[in-house]
This record gives sequence, C-alpha cells and structure tokens, in this order.
Amino acid sequence: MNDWFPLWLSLRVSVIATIAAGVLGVAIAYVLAKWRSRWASLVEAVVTLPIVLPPTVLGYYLLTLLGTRSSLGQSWESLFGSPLVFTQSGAVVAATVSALPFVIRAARAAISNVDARVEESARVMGLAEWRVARVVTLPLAARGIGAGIALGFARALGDFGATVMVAGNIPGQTQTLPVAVYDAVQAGDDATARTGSLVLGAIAVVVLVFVTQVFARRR
Amino acid sequence: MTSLLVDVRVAVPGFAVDAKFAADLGVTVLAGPSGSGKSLTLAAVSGTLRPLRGTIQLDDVVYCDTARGVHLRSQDRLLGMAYQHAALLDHRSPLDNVALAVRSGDTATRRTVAMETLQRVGAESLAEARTRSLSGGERQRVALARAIAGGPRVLLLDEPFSSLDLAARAELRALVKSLVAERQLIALVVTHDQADVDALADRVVRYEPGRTVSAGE
Repeated sequence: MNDWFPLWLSLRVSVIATIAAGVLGVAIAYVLAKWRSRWASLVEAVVTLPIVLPPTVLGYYLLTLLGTRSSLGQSWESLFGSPLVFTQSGAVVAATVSALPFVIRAARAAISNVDARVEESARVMGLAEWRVARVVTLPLAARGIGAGIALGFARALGDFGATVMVAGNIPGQTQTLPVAVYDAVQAGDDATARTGSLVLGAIAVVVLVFVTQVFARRR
Repeated sequence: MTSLLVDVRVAVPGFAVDAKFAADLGVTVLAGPSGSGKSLTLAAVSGTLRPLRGTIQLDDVVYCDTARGVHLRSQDRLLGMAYQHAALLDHRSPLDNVALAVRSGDTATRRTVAMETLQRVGAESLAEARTRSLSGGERQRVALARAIAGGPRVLLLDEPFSSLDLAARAELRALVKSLVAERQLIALVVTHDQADVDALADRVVRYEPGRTVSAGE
C-alpha cells in the first residue's frame, strides 16, 4: 500500500469520535443509570439502535438528519460555511454515533454496579451530587467505562456503512481505511486490500486484548 | 439539652418497622437481632431512605417530617457515619478519605484538619498508606476519623466492630466512647453484639421483629 492517507484519516477520525463518544456516552450513561423512570429503558433502546441497525440504514438516517436540506444540516452550514455531509466532519459524526452505544452500554452497567452504599456514605459526609459522581461513582466505574471507550474506538475505526453514507468515498478527502479496502477489492488491487485489512485487524486485536486484560484484572 | 427525636415508620418491600425514641448526647445503642429494622432506622436518620411516615428532628432542626413534606438532604444533616460495609474509598489514600469529609476550608486546611483527626484516632501513620491494604481495625479507625472530621452533631455507626478481633474491638469501643464525650456527639450505634451494648451504651433501644420499638434506659 503506497498511499497511507486512509489510515491517518481513519485514526484521526476515530480518535476525535472516541473522545466525543466518551464524553457524551458517559454523561448519557450516568443519567440512564441514575434515572428511575420507565422512560429510561426507552431512551436506552434508542441510543442502542446503532448496534443493531444495518450501518447503511444508520448512515441513511444520519444523512437525512444532517444533509444539506435538513434544518440541522443548514444550521451547520450557516455556522461553519460548508456542509457537514461528505466531509471529514461528517465521517467524525458517523463514527461517533456508531461508537456511542458501546460506550453507553458499558458505562451504564459499570455505573449501576457501583455500590449504592458507598455513594450514600459520600452524601452523608456532605459531598454535593457532582462531587459524589466525580470522587466516588466515576472512579469506581472507571474500568467498565475504559473498556466501553476502547470498544467504541475499535467500532469507530472499523465503521464502513455509516461513514460511506454520510462522508462518502472521496479518495484523499473522506476515504477512510475500511472504505479504501472496499475500493481496492473492487479495483482488484489485492496488495492494498490485504495491507489495509491486516492493519485494521491488528488494531482490533490490540484493542480486544486491552479490554480483556482490563476485565481480567477485576478479580 | 441536645436531643435527636425519632418517631417514624420505615418500610422497604416486605418489611416495616416503627421506631420511636429520643437520643441525647452520648451513645444510644440500637440493639436486636438482624432483620429487626435497626439499619433501616439509621438509613432514615441519614436521609438515604424516606420514612413512610413520621418525624426526625435534631433540636429545632427538622430532618424529616412526612406530614409537612420535609426531607432534608443527607448533605445538610451534619452527620458522620461509619458503616461495616462501604466504609472507605479504596482508590483514595486514607488522608484523602478523611479530607473529603471536612466540610469547609481550602484544600490545605482540609488536609490539616484531616491529619489532626487521623492523629486523634491514632492513625496518623496510615495517612498515605494504600487504603486497600489496611487491616480491618485500621480501616475502622480511618472510617471513624472520616466520620468525625466534618464536625458532625450526630454520629451513626452500623455494626462498626463486627469484622474485628476481640482486642481491636475493645480498643475501638474505648475510642468511640472517648470521641463521643470529647466532641459532644449524639451517637447511634447499631449492633447485635451484647458486648457492644455493655461497653458503649448510655441508652439502649431494643429492637424485636414486628414490634414497635421505643426507648428504655
């Protein structure tokens, strides 16, 4: 493979998407874990959709929601001067939405598993709610949150369907590595397809080993 | 005379307890078999559980009055607590654990107060130890320091010595007794151990399953 642009783009997009999905996902997970309402499970189902939807369908929804004719897409354009779809920012949005449910599910489970008595004793000793979250809940849930963020990163890096729908397949501009692998196969360029697949596979293995280690150390 | 008045019905699914007693300065032991509602009463006093009905009041400060819809947050009740479970944050040093409970001052002041409190309970050498590796008795000392560091008026202890050996129990009972006297605290101590009752109690509230609990001397 002589053109490494798709790899760098993929890494850049997935790092930014992971940060966004991490911040957003942990916040949503915290609310879901603490919110005692039957609406919570509905909200959780909705934010989990990206896991079960075909990625192309997810991409289609995003395209409809953020496209140049949608109100969100038009607000973005008036704010930043260029459309969101078929740009690298679009790729970041697609990767973020794909990664989000992995972060939310892992973080929500980890936050719910924190011993409520530890949180209660923090309140009794006078800590305000946000300090209970920062000093007690989130540190105690850190392993689960970390595992979710790692899985989210792997998902963001590997996303094909949603990315190709929202960001397109513009070589040198929005073509991420998974999309480049697809292109290479279509063009009969075996060497590029093989190298790209090996790189993506290797990163996925590293992430999974990391996640397994994190859980193994849990005793 | 400072006094904590408790007159509540506390319920969780499948179980309810009526408790009515007054606790003055000194140690009031809530004694009785497990499952008789002692810890539920403490949860109501600490504000982590809303009583079904009734009032809890420290002098003229109403912690809880279900008839008037008053329920003071745990944070505003000026309590200290040390429970058998969930006592310390293992990811923070013992000094941090105590400093978190200090209610006013900047970081340096909080740490100074925390250090003084650790000294008072004879645990200053543990200040920067790994919390996870403390022994049961050491943990309980740090937990006591944390419970009193915020300058509480009411101290809640739930089976505080149950995981300790006999020698450590005796030491910690003496420590609790002296802290309560020195800091002018109202202490509620939940225990099913008669030795705790004998060593600590200024007053005893006896719990029996299915009965209204009220105070006796």
